[in-house]
Amino acid sequence: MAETQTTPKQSLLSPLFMQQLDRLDVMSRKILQGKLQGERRSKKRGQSVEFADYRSYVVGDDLRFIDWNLYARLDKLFLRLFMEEEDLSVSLIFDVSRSMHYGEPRKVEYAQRLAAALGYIGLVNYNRVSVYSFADVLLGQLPNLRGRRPIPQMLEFIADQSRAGEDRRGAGNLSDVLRRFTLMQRQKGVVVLVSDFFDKGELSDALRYLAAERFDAYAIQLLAPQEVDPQAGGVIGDLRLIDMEDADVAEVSVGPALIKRYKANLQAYCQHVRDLCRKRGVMYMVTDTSVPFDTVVLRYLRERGLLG
Amino acid sequence: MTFIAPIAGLVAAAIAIPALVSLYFLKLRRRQLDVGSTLLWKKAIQDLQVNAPFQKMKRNLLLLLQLILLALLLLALAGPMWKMPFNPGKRTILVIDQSASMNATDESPTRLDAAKERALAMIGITDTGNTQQPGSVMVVSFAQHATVVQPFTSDVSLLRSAIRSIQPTDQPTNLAQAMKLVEPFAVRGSSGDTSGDDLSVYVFSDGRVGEGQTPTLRAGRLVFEQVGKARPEGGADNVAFISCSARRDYTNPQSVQVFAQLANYSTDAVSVNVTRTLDGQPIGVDKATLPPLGSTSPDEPGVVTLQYTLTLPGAAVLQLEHDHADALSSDNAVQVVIAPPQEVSVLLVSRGNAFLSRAVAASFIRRVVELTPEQYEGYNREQLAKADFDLVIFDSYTPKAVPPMDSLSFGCTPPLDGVVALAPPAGDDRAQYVLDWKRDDPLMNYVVLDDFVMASRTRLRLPIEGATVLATAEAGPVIAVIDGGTQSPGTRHVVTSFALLETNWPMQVSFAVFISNAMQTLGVGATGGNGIDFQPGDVATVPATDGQTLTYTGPTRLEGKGELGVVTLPMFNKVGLYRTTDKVAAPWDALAVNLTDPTESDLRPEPQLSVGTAPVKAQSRTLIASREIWRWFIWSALAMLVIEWLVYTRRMGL
Repeated sequence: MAETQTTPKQSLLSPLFMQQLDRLDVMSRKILQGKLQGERRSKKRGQSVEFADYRSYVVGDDLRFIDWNLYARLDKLFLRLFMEEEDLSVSLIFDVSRSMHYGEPRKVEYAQRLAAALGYIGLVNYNRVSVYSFADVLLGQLPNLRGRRPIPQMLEFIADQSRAGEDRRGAGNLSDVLRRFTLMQRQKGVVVLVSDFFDKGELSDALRYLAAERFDAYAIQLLAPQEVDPQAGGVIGDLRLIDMEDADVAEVSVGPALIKRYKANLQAYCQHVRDLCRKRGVMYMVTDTSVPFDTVVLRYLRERGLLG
Repeated sequence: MTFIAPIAGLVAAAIAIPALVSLYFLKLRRRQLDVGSTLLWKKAIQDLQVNAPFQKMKRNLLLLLQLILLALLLLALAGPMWKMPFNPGKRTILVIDQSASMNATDESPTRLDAAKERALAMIGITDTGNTQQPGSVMVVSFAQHATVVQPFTSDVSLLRSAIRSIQPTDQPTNLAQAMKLVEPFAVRGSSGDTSGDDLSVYVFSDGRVGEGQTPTLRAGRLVFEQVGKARPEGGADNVAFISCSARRDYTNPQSVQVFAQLANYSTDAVSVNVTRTLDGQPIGVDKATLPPLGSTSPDEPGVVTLQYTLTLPGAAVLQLEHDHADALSSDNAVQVVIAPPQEVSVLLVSRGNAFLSRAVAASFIRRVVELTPEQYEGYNREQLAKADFDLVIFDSYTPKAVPPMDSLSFGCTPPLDGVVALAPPAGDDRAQYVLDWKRDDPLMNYVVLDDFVMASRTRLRLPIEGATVLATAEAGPVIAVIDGGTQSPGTRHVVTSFALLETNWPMQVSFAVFISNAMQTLGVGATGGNGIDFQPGDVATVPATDGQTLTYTGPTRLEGKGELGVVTLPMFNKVGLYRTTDKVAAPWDALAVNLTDPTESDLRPEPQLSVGTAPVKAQSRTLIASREIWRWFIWSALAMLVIEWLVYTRRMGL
């Protein structure tokens, strides 16, 4: 915890890693409308230099786009249409609740680095980047960042969120968080949700909000190595397990049988989350924090089409 | 199932079980650990615990197993005994006591019924337990005599009906008779060998078989199935008349002396009202307080002697009855038929004996006629019978024939079969003394023979049956009483080996007493003006003409036909008064049957039977055989331990 407080924002992304990220862009499986002109081709016809099509002139069209050469040859008025280039809205929502502070390395650090990396990629590609953190409620938001200039601001924001999440106590409520997020984020765009998804509420209700047409959603589930293999994390014997979020107590006598059952449950739970995401068109990925961070970003996220 | 040491087991249980439970419910000291979420852990626990009821049970399954394990060990510690209901061999004999004490109501409804129920239960077990080769069972009932109610059979319905047919009696117990009946089956064996190992004899009794009996069973297995409830404080709830007699005063025959003894077998002093009735009419009520059992001597009942004097010129039936409600009703009353006063008519055959003549004359007699032997032989048997003599006394004269009436002979013997007065061996001129005499015989009442000296060592040779030795001297029997048998039915003959004048007896008081006793007991049949009563198991002979049929009604119906001048009635089974309306001389129109048996009235169940040399202890009250089964519990506990270990390892995944 102390380490988190003193973690400099620069440690989230090393310069070398930033260079590797410069070559990547956030990809969207859908062609989405942005607010400002950007680097991304839009479905809309607009004012770029790239010709797209012709159409017949109708009264009221801008006379500047009439193709006079064609009129001369055909004696008909045609309007020249150009490709419109728009910016892409990238929303990064990462979980900083107390459960994310579990594990070695802690899941929240991993989530922060993921958010920083994706935000960095979004900003260097002139996408509209919004960053949200949440625990039991939406804790912080940094919306509508664009361009390289707010990168330090974004990193600082991300670095600060873990402490805010650590101070929150209470059961997570992902459903409420995502509901509030969808109310605030009316824009189309890519949404990346990073969490451990250990939510005692109904997960399907929460993911329902990401299934909106305007979102191209990605769900990244983070697990601590101690959660994947509790025995290795010292969870064995007669224990009084305390839930870091809501202080719920479970008195268990952990033996191999229970460990086996737990692992089966974890696998089933991950499959359950995967199925819920698939049903709602959300791309899902699970990883544990022992996997090197650059491998996740540079390999797994590219393989799943989030980065390209 | 019973326990050898239930207290030890209970104490151990009281300590161990709460200790185990409290240990189990003490909170386990658990290591505290923070986890990201308990969601999956709780789900994992839930998965291991399928549903709520089972969940609770499973949570405490180890405790449950440990409690069972502990309970098994504690039960083993208490020494459990399994009462095996029955282990029939190839052959089984059920011997059921139907004596008077079995009518006691301490078992509901009576001991006999309880014994029959248990025997029936046993039959049920033979029916179901050994269907492949059903054992053969024989049913024997016994009281004074033993009877085979049902010979060996494996037909359960026959056996059941045989057992149910056993009726209560008021007879005394004679186990020796029953064992005699059983003995041949035990010795012979089922396959003709002599092992008898396959025979089991189950005796259903309260163990009150009386003293002096030595029943034996040389082979087979004897099991004593005790019936009757022993009271924890000891004793038995019974107040009983144990004796009763009525006797007319010799000097005043109208005066009747009545003696009765009441015994209290309970450990508390009891007050009773004794009602006297004469021919059904109450004549008085007396209150008697009986001391408790063991008050006079250990293990002896508290006895009170009742004594009354009645003025009774004729025959009557006297009844004494107490009002204490106890477990046995048949000994709550006694009845005595008091005969009218009768004086004997004596014929003295002698060549002159002043001592004898005076002694006879001094006795209470109606008349005495003195004849010489020659005069006596001048009368034939019919003349003598018609002469109305009750008793003939022979003084040193051996008659040619057995007289048709009772006789008393000194220095000679009537020609009874097997009775010979033997002279001393030649040259043996030593005198002899009387060593022993039968003090309880009415003839010898108050007769003291300590100073009785005989000049010669004469003795009597007596038949094996029908003779009772009254006095024995150094050479052998010197006074005896012999039944007339077939030679002179219904008569008794007292013989002595010595002539009176060869002894010092005529000079002693005991001689006059003896002659007086003889006048009272001989010649008057069984009446003598005294009270007549019988005991269950007795057989009464009533004077009657040949061919006459007598029918007595009372508790049971008795019928007999006259033969040789008497009617021999069947054995008495029940106490009470039997009366006849047939023509019969007083007092034989009524026969009183009383229990008056201290052994039967003592209702305390005996814990063991003495059969042969080894006493057979009562195995059980309700069932037959007991077997220690603590080993079963130990083995079960070990099995439980293994199960517990398996459950523990399965749960912990070791």
